[in-house]
Amino acid sequence: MISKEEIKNTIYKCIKELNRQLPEESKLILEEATVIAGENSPLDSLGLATLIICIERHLTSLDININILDKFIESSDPPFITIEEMCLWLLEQLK
Amino acid sequence: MTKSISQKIIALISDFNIAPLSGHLKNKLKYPEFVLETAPYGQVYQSLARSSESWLDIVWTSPERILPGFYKALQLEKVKHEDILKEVDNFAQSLIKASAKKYIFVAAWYLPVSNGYGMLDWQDGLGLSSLLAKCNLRLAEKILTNKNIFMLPTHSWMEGIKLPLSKKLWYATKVPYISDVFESAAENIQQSVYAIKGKSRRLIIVDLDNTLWGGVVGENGWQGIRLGGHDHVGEAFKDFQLALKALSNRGVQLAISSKNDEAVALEAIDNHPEMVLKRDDFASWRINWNDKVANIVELANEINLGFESIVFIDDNPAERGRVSDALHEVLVPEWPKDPAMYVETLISLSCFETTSITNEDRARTVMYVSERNRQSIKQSFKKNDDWLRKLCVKVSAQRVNSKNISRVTQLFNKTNQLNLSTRRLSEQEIISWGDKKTRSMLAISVSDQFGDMGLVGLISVEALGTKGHLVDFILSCRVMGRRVEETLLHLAVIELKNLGAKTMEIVYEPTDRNRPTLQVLEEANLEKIDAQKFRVNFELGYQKPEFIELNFIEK
Repeated sequence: MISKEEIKNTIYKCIKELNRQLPEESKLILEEATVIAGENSPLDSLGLATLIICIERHLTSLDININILDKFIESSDPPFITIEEMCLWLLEQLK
Repeated sequence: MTKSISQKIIALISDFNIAPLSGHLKNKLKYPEFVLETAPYGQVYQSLARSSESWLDIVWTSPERILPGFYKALQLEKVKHEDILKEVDNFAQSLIKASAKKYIFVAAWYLPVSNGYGMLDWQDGLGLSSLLAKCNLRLAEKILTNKNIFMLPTHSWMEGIKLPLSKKLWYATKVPYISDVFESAAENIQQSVYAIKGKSRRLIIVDLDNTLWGGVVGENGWQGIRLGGHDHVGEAFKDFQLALKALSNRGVQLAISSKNDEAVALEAIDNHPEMVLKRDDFASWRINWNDKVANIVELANEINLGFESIVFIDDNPAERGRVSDALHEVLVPEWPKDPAMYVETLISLSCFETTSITNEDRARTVMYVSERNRQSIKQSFKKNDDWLRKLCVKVSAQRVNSKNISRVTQLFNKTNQLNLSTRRLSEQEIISWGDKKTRSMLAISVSDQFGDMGLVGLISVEALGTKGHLVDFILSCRVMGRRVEETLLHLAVIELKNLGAKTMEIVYEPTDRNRPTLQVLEEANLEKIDAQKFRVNFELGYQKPEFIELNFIEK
């Protein structure tokens, strides 16, 4: 069973990867409270999709297969806004 | 976006969503003069055909989208490869047409995920691997005769990346590759852009002990160092020397900065049977117990290169730290402890890109060895002119033409110290400048009894009625002080007389590096009009030193 810490590290790893292609003003801070989705996110739709697919890819390498992007798109309200919410949501999905 | 006059537009043209490359490039290209613009994706031909103000187009396409025949081939339909090559020709034509006034970087085609025909995939006329290789080769043959177009090694962007393609990313965003691929591409493109701007690294200064060979030569003698042989560590050091030698063969110069006893270290270089790099492979060396920063400063002055052209390689982190703190412009890469990683680390630097490799580049180290010989006989002459007489200097002038234009462009963009106006011009701009009948441009080669120094200078003049102007006066530092300078002024006078001028005006345009040009002008016996302006009245004439032989090569 994957821990919250491992999920958070995976998200941080992908944020670091994504930050390298983002302009200075849009770079995401590695903090649990950082907003990654929704109106107040500095990410556009391409940035968010890239981040989610990167997380899926890294989770696959840990033998965890989950379709985050589809679940995100299918939800009427975003299932997570911040990094912490994403961690908790993923933990719930992976139960 | 509004573009200021000095800004250069780099346009990204692709048949997929290329936004990630744009993001990485914006973060890597630190020069504010570059403005990135992304053409609407999927409109490659339209974007190429559109009249644009861009300075550089980066064209990255997928074979299955830009070549309809390749798409069919990818479905394993029976297709004539000749027909697909005609599609390649059409694409090449569009690139050539677009390149008239700008540079173009074309990413070589990369094969998308496909098993193709398996063990038959390299079969001529059938396999996809064979077809892709032919398409890339055909494209290269068609476009690379144009000197404004460069083909970039896409396959190297994918190297070391596990699963570079992401189908999910493609379906969701029309981005075919993961971010690492774009980062690697941006790194390569950045180096290629710097190469166009003449900002590549041109000198590698290496340490000796545990860098060029294993062990400490001062303690073990040359017989005790680890180099080559049946020893995995020795083999790694030998391979590293071979990699340095390969860079030297393409024009990157090598030098040594090592804390050692010079005689002991040179004995190892001369006598060890597995030494790949010999004395003559090094432009110069400082093997002593001095501070390496001081040694690097001396080497840079001697070889006439700025710190921004230098890479310093040393296994000792303390030495690296010292150099990197003191000389910020010198590239000091983190160096692995394991010699097996040396070659890989050297290659990953990818800062040695060049837009052309001229004969002068390949022979540069030989030229430095000849220079050592010249300097060694200089000591036996009291007067400088007696030494120059002994050298038997020959200056040859030739009109700028298709054979020497690459080297002339290099001189325009890389020469700093002896450069009257420091105009930075592209090949195309040089050709356009010379189109007027009132102008003339000569490429200058110099040789002497110790060897050929190659094409080392150029002059350009323009006559406006009877008033002549020396527009460019560029000379490589390697022939500075041989009185070639006065020979060039003499040549400029001859050219301007032929264009109908009666005087030649010379205006020195100062930069932070071309002070030696002013010194040359002040010492050249010219009429001084003011601090930066000089004149030659043709009635009085201007003679070259009598011991310099001057030839004019017509073709």
